Amino acid sequence: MRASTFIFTGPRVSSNVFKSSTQFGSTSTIIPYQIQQLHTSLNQSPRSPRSRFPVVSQAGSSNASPSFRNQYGSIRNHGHSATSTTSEPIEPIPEISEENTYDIVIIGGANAGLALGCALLSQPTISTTTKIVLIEGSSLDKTRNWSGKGDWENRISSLTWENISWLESIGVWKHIEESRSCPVEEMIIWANPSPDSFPTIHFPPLGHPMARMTENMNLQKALLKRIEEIGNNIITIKENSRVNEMRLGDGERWVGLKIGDEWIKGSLVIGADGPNSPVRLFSKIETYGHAYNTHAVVATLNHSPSPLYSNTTAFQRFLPTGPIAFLPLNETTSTMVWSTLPLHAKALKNLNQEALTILINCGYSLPESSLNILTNKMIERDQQNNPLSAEEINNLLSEIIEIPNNDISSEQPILPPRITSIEKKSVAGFPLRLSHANEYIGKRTVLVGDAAHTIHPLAGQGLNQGLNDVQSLSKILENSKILGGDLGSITNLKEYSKERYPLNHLILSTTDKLHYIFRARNPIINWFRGTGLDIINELNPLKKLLMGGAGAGAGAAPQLSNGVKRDNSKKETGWQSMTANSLDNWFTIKNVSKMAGGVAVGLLREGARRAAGSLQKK
Amino acid sequence: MPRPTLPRSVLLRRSVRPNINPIIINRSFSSTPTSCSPSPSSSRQIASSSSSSSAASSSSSSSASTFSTINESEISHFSKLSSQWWDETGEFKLLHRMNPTRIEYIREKVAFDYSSEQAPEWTFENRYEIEIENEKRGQGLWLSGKSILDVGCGGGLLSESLSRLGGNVLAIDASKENINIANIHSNQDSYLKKQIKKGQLEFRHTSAEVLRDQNEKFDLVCSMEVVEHVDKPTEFLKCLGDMVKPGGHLILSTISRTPLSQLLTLTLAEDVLKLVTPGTHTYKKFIKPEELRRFVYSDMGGNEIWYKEENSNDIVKNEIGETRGIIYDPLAGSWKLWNGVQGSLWKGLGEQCNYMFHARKRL
Repeated sequence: MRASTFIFTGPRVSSNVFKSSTQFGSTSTIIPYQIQQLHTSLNQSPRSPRSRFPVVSQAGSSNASPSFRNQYGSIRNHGHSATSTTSEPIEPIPEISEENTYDIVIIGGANAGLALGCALLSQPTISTTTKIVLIEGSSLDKTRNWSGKGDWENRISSLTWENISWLESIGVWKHIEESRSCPVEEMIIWANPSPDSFPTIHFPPLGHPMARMTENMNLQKALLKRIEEIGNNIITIKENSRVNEMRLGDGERWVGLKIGDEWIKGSLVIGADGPNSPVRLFSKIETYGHAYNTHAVVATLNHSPSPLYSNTTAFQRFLPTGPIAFLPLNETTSTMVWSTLPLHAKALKNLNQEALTILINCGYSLPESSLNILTNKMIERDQQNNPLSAEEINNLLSEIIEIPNNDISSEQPILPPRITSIEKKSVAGFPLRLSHANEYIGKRTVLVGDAAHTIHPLAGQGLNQGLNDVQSLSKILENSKILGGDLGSITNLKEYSKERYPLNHLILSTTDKLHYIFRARNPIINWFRGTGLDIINELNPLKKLLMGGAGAGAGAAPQLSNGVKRDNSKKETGWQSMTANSLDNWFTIKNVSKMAGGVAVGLLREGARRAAGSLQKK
Repeated sequence: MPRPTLPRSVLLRRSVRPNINPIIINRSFSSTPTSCSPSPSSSRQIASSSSSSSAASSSSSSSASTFSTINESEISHFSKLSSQWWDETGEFKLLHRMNPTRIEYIREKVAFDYSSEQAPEWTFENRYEIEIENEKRGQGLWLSGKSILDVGCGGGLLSESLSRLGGNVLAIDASKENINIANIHSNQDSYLKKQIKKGQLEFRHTSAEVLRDQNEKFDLVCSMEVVEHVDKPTEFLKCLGDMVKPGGHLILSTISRTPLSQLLTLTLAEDVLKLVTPGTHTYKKFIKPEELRRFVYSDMGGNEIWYKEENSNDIVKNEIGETRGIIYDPLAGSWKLWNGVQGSLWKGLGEQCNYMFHARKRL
């Protein structure tokens, strides 16, 4: 009755796909090169250095994953082709002892996996009646011993306010090193496609931080600490454990996992194992999506503190090649994500420290036309294996400065602080990809976080989506457990994909469209941006999405009719806030219609003038 | 076999089946015991023939029950479908989806039954403790320590869930095939296998009458979607009622006899959409909620034996227990319990098709 067999074999292939990033914290694992290329996304690969900006997640670096090969040793890119038709006789799974029998098996000990552990521990029934194991391919000591001192990690994500509240409610936030988590109070997004156009979206302060920039290590350490604090006897953590083989057990009622020479089994296997998820492969779930032909370059930036303002504003500028973001870490440190063409990214990484510092400053402040000249030159020189030096850039700049209209920095009043230096070893680059699994549920398996979806970092939603998945799944599992359900059954799990799939899809596709719209420089879209961005600036729903509010409703599993309320984040209601909201909406509508009216009147006037002109000519 | 067996194809036709046995539901579901007097000879043979094949109940065949409410053709119908019990996307898809909602109802009735325990008296000092205690209700293994009988367990959908909640479950079915399927399926799950070994979960091929004659009593007797499949539902219900311990609960689910239920369960689900094999249900065997409540009042002991329904005892006279609609939401793909004030039109609307019934025996 082993209906399906999937065998991971092969030694750990260590790939140096991204040389520049190797040293950073990535414990991760090995992913054969081909797969890496196809599935890459941000955070995923462990080797990929930072996930950041508004970015994303690192939910689940798949440390538990071995390299995947099927029995013939071939490497497949899509889950569906994982072999199930092997003619070789398969050794039967030996009898698995009681002690190795679990209800829930979580694969992946990064953000998503650890968060899921904490989320399940916070559920009263799950935490008292289930046996959970968390399998991680590498050692968690690095996470455990992270001190919160010294250099900043380059994998940094933005955590939305909703998710912070949730983490607080399940007792995780108190373990976060707050000094290493920077609130983002305001956000400014702009694009200046031509010297006389400065459409800007400004997200004003909300009264609470809209997000916090937090190192992934910081979050992971807090999550791990929480699990170790209250998870005794409930969650077993198996570190340095690689899943060599997974097989569906009798009657598809459990999954057997071979770890080393030992078999364990679980009723439900949760894949929190990153973008190249072995669990997804095992479940034969395909993904769709596309690579962006874009690499993100990340770096930690040093600057002098502002005498006037605290460094809590995030900036993002849309260039024709992709967005460049500036995200605060503390008063004198910030981090950058520059998503751009692979050639450009490569050239950036090859610059020396001073040259890169100047170029990043230019990236934030130079007009597009001037910046183009500069980057073209940079790429050209990089291809000759002779990267520009700081001096040469300065010379180039003084030439460019003769171009009129370079006084953009005075027209664009709010700019990030001037960068004084960068941490050279924090510089890293990785390719970006959008992908979404076709399904979240397989036989006795379910996907969360990056295993289910990867996203462009521009909206900073990756990790947050993963956390929302985890919240939703834990509530659904709790409800199903209260009602005596079989945790791994499709009837129970479909709730999860019904709840999360459309939301994730909305976020993925909106982000994808924003990426396109802001990057494009054709006249129609320029016009749209020119006249329309101000309207967008007034549209709260879109702003909310950009701020991460889209995930706010996630995780709202249906309440049992007689159930105890366990909704931890009570929304403020009452007539005051209702009035405030409706007033707010009314002003939004008023402003938008005023602007739309202004545009229409302008167009009419222009048309009338032309008509009059042509009449006069006649 | 005392009766000629009909070809299977014939059994599948709903229109044919009702003639096989005299069906004893009369419109009023009346309390006259005479109307359901069994024909003892034939039924006894059915009961013994089925029980003799089961090792578990062979010992009991000596204390033969006087009759059986098992309907042979129904049994063969479900036996044929037995292999599909656990296909979550197949024949019993709707049943799989209904299961959590049924348990939710049971939970509401059993776990939130405040009257069953000696609640500490409310004082200002212990107000928080009481609240905390109450919050724990219905969480964790909220059925632990309860003995439960699941009559007509089929493939064990409900029984497995009850067992996972800690209950000490005995599940019976008149179809040997169903019991086999249920046993095989439960043994594949590590937790349930353990429960079976510990004797906390047992699937037995027997009938409710046999158990009753053995004087078995349970804290909770459930029989989901069974009443509409048995002969002489009146006798069947009395038999279930007899097996409830004082203070225990009787929970049923069935289908009402209304034009709506005919449209939904017969015309749509069976004939048009083919979600369910045609022939699964018989219109005439459906029972209306008020018939059920009145029957429990008039024939199963009334207020002497059963608690009054607290929510409605001022408006509903001569009835026992609560009925609650359970409706399928095709958009959400799940079942929901219907709310409403007892006796109101709105509540009645929800009970037009599937509904749950609950009654609690007096201590």
